[in-house]
Amino acid sequence: MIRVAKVRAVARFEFRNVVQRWSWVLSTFGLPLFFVTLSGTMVSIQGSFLSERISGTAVFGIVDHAGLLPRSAGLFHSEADLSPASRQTLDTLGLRDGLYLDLDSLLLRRYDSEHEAARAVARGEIGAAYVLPRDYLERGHVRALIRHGGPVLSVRASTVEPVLRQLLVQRLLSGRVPPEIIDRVREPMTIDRIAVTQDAAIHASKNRMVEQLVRAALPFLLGVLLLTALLSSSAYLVQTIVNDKENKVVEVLLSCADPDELLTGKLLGLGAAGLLQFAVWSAMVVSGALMAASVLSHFSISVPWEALGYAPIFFVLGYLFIGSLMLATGSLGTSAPEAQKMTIGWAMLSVLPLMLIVVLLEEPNGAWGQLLSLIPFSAPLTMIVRLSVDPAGVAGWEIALSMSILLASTWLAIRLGARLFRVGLLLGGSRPSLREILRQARLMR
Amino acid sequence: MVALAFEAVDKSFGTTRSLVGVSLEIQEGLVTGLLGPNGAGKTTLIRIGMDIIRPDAGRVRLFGSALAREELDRIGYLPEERGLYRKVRVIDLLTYFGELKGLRRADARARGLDWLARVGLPDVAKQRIDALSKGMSQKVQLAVTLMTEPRLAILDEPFSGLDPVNIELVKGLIQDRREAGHTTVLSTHMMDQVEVLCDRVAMVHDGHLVLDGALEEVRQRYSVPELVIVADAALPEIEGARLLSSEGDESTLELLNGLEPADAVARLVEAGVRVRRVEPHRASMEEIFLRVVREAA
Repeated sequence: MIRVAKVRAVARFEFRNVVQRWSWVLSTFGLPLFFVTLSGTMVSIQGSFLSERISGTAVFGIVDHAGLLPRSAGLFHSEADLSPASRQTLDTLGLRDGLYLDLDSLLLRRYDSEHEAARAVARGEIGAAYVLPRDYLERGHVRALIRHGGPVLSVRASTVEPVLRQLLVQRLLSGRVPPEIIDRVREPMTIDRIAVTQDAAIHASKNRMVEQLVRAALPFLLGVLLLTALLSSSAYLVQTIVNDKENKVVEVLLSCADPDELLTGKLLGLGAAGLLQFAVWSAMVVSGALMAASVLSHFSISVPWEALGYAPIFFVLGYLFIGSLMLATGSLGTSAPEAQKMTIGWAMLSVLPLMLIVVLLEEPNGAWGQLLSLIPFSAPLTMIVRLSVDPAGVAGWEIALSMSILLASTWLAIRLGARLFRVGLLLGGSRPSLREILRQARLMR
Repeated sequence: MVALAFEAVDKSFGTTRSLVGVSLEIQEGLVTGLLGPNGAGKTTLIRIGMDIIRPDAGRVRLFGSALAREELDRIGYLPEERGLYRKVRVIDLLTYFGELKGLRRADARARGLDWLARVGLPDVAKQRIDALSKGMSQKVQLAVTLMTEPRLAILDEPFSGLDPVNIELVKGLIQDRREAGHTTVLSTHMMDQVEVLCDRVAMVHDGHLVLDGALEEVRQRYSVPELVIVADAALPEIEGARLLSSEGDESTLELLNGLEPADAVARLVEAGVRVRRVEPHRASMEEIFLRVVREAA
């Protein structure tokens, strides 16, 4: 019979010990701020870089052996006819006396031979050159000359090819079909997505892209936070056992309280610290996402209340389950590194849903989602992701069944954990054999 | 009344038999010395008494009843392997262990402060454990053990690492407990302290109980028929005795064939010796310890 007063004393002591640590305070409050600041800075640097790249004028080469872009069509102009900004770009690149096809921020410089174009590419005067061979019409092949050892990822290069493709479509069809047909061939469809809710109401989104992003990111972030808080709390559990062993207080503790009471107290105290951490992180993420969505597109997004409501329950159950197993196996280790090695398997199992996150986001209530909801290791994370993505698709009985299995597994884990915990605490020094562990565990109540 | 009783206790770890059929009764209100060489099985016996580990066979009774978790709150235990949470304040630590022993929080705190004063550390309450010296930490641990005024205290090597002043302090605390009618089990290798403090002694060797009884009775049992005689002249040979050693005016005489000390002294006087002092030989606990270990080997 567990004595509540002892459990409470252990829980309070462990909770206070953890939340007073600088590492906990920093990871709870400082880490999200650091992450937001760092990622914001990185995103703005890259955004500014990309925006400058895309908005600036870029020059590419074209060699037309297929006769699709003849001089007589009046498509190309001399440098003098270009805008001042384009002329400045050409000056910078050292390009003189050429003919250019002006496609907004993209200039296609005409070369008469492939060799000439290749030299310009090699000198870095142009980003790349596209060669339309004589048999282009029959085979559709175009050669792109790019600099050997050039950048792996070029934003400008990725934008020029769609433009070139449209130019070719237009030149192929021009004069043969009406202009509106050319437009439709160039862009067969644009899609306006309109969400229909369960009661057939139409949910018009002002910014579909942002909404999609937020809807995918929120479950993912909540899942990652749940997992991080769960694993960090479990890591604190292992740490506290190692501390007890290293500080040699195990015998005194066991002379004061039953292993069940110690284990339960530690689980509750450190679980409360983990739950507090998760609550702070969740509040920061949700409010951050709401603010970001509001600033970006002035539209309101739906908060995954179901997921947030169930998150503490799944956190507690998942933490008690994984924590018990970690505490039990960690207590068999004779040092901090050994204890961590022995518990890493449990952590890997709980990360399982993240490895299948694409499947869960795409089909949250499919077979994989349902299966992972019933496995105690993956249930907490899977359920939170499912309840975030499509709460209406998760049946009440599924939540109840998932919780019941988790609860039963947790009870078993605590029972097993308490036995191994006592054996592990006392058999200090060298690690006992599995046979000896089982023999001693059988002697325990 | 018996405070703690071990009945035919066996315990093995792997192929090592740590305890073999040990039966021992710790009498209430007395100080019992639990002796034995290193690795004899003392700590295992203590851990079984504290219900930290379970015996393979046999049983343990505490204050007349089967060992129950609730009753263990009445035992204070100072393990040989000392340890405290290093980054915790002294008073928080005392409060925590007081609560674990069943005290209410406020009560545990008050008693903690009181016991810090009793062990001579009234000013360290707000310091962290890692700021204390080894000796101070040891006294804090003693305060942790005794702050609940346990009916039974098991102290494993309470003097190790203490200076003579603090050894006297700990001896005083143990004597106070005896005066208050509380039971103390003292496991130590300091035999001089056993002679001063203990009412009874028990000795474990190779997992067996090899000695058990009242201190005076045990010392008597292991004493040999010898007399230390201080006289003003060298001792002559007398019938029924043999001179073992002589240094200055002090000689040691072995009594043979059941010769009584009074008869030996009478024969010396008859031989014209002026006897100034006579002391019968009493075996020291150190001698007894060594003899028992040798005999058992």
